[in-house]
Amino acid sequence: MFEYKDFLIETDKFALNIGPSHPATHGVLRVLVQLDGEIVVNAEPIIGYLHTSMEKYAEFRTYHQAETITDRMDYVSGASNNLGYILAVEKLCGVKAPKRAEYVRVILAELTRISSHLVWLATHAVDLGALTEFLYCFRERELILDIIETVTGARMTPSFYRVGGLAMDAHKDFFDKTRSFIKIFPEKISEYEALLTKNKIWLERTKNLGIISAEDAINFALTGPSLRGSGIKYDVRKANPYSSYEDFDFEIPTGETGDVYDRYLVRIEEMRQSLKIISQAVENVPEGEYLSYDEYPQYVIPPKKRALTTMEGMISLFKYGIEGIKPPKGEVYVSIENPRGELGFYMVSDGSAFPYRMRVRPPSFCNISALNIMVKGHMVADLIAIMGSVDILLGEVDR
Amino acid sequence: MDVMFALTVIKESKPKVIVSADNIKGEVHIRIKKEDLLEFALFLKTDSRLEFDMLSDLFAADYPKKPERIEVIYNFYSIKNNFRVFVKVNSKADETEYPSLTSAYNSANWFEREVYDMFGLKFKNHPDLKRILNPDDWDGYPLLKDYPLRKRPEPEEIKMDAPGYIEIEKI
Repeated sequence: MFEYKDFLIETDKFALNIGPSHPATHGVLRVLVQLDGEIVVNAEPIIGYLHTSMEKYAEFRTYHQAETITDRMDYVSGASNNLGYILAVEKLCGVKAPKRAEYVRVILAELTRISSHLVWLATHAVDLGALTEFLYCFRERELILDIIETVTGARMTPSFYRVGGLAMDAHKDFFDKTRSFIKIFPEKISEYEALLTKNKIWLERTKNLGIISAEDAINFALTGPSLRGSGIKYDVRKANPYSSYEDFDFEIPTGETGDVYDRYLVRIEEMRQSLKIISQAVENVPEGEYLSYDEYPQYVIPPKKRALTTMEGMISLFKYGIEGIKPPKGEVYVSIENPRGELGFYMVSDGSAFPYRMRVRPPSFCNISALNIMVKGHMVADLIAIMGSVDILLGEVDR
Repeated sequence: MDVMFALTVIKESKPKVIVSADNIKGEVHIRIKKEDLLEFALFLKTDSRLEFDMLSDLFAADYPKKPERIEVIYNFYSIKNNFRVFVKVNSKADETEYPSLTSAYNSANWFEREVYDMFGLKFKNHPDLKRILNPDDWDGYPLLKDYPLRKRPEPEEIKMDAPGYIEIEKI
């Protein structure tokens, strides 16, 4: 009689390249995988295929021009990235935006968070074979992009913020559209969850997969949902509130085991919390100026109406357009909670109209660096699930 | 707790290591010498009052006019205490070797590769120091101030004896 071990085949380890142009890598990530049969022994992410040297480019742009670079970096959550950059420049100049502008910024940033999580959920679900989810998510993402387009004029790359406020005032149409979105969205989240959260196939594909412990997550400098999935309650919005986040009441969801399923649950709950923040902000948005030109005429552009009707407004608008603003010498660091984690901007100014050095602390860059310890010992098909659950965006990894 | 508390603790415990310590707009910037870096990082990580468990960022800046041209900035963060300190290390352009922090923080691995890629600094005892964002055969270090914005690599001369080179006519 044969025994079971007689049927086993001895296998050699071999290397397999996944990417750089592979639909499951969500961009141009290349993963060099060492396989033993179907088991992943080692996985090395190789990045840089989308490198455009944005940190170098920023040194040759004025402060307002460099803002347009930041939303092209993470093109799924443009308004969030702009916020981090503009807060850093404001801190450099010592400028504070008026309350109304801060609230509109929060609304846009949170809408972006929802839309970014929708893109993640859609693509992650497609990777695991759930195509319906993709169509559901992109249906609501379209509504959000419409709202963002209403006020900023652009769908993905708004560049709507200015030092000390906004490019123009948010109008009634924007708030109305946001209100109607708040009304319909909670049941849509239940719709997404109905397809996945208790689905047997989904649970089999995501539970106890790609576990990263809390210590490892911190050691690899993971932030955002990838860190919170491991049970660490760290969110920049709570730890160091910026842009009036201290006014709003919201929770930070955390996971327990740090597997793919926990990261999924954290992101779903984050969408609900974002909606909560948006509804508070829309109801309490104060009236008043949207640019703090009166307080800091040295750094802030004049509102459009004043630029067109008064002489000094016209002159300073031209001056800022041609010369750019010149913050005092110094260095600052500002970090915000991007949909993917902590996005930091370290700005160095030498007193000229161009940033001397702009360093971006990229959340996706750190998150993907921990891929190897997450995938060790899993199957190749699970590698795709784990890679999706980290939610990277190659534009920001490579900058 | 305030981050100034962290500064006091650091000043008390390591008075000889610190070259200067400033508070710039609510952020603590500490300048130390390159030799003390690894020991100082381990102290920040293990001290029970501080617990800087995350190396949040690591990058460099280039100041060609200063005698100590390259400045490497380490961004340490403590999740438990919500402290953030920036540790700065300066060096002359020809002293490009730094101690690597990969033994203490895993996140240092990719950050140090990026600094090597962009500024040409070498990190001693780094497990796998190679270019990360630029191609492996890239010439120069792009984020140095004397590297031009629109530099393109020279078109390579075709080497007849390069491996894999076959003249089609001879086949």
